[in-house]
Amino acid sequence: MEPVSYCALKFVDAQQAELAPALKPTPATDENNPLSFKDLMGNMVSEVDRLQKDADQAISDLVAGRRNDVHNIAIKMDEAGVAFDLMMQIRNKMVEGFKEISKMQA
Amino acid sequence: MFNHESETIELMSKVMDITTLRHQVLADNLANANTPNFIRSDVDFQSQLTQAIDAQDHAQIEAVTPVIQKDNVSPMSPDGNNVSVQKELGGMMENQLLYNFSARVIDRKFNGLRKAIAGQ
Amino acid sequence: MSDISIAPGIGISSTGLDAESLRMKVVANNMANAQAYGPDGEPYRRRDVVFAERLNDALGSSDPTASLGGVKVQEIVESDAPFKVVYRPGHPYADEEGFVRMPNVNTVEEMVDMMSASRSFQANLAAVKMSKSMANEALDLLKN
Repeated sequence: MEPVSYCALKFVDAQQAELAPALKPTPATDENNPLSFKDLMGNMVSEVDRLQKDADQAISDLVAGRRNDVHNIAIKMDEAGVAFDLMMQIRNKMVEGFKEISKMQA
Repeated sequence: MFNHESETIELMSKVMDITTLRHQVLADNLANANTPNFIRSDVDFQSQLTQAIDAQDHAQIEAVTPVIQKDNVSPMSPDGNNVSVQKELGGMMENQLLYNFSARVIDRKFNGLRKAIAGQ
Repeated sequence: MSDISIAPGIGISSTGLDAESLRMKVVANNMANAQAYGPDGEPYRRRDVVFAERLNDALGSSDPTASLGGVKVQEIVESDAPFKVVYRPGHPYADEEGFVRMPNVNTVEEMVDMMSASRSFQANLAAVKMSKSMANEALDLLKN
């Protein structure tokens, strides 16, 4: 792999590694201690990550000859992709909302 | 477990290398389906690859080298040729599908990275 | 012919297409001449193709597939299978006793050869389609 793209990929990997501690989902608790929005976001991120890892594991199982159900693997990849897209959309909406709110301060 | 983008891309890239090589070997077998005394060849790679994946050793995956081997096991017809057109075509189709699948996985991965970078 | 190959194996499969289509021509020629005689009264002798593995010069190449060249028609030979002798007194080339030698073409065998050649031709064609599909998938990586 060429140096430039290799660096780009390693950069992304490093970001993922930094996020790793935050990727553990916060467990749901009882009514008296509801999950904060921050926890909800954190759970979503870890769910996206889990789906991604699941798909990657399925891919390497296929290549290792351990499974041959390509359709399921393709579905897993799609699930991971859609979850990611959803998360991005939510993130974008949040950023928009934040910008609107900051405009109000005056 | 490959939970890093670059590792899956490099794994699938290796698979594409292997399937490209294997396609040429199988095409050569097929072209020689009627050549007297022609013994078919195939490509050995699966055990190396599976071992490297199980070891989760990235360098080992990079080092997987497909080996072209003569197939002295398949039965010969009276003219000494052991190519079966059906089997060869079947093998080529599976091989091609694995190649195409790998290309699409790589495409997905890169698209995901681009989306993450663009923040869209 | 260039050495550039974006579609893997397409050159190899095309040697198969060439060889099998030549074989079909030779078989068709045999069938057309199944009752033919030369001007000297010699019966037509059937012809056959001899296929051989085509090996490229791969000296110094690091590519393990460099020597794979597919197939070639080594030569076209005349069969020395004996002529069948039949009793046909009215035949222009019959001898004094009414016997004539027939060309050594067996129509059934030729049909079988033709089918085999046709099947192999189709198979190589399928292989060419696969090469193209693989090339297109790889090129799709460049979209976006």
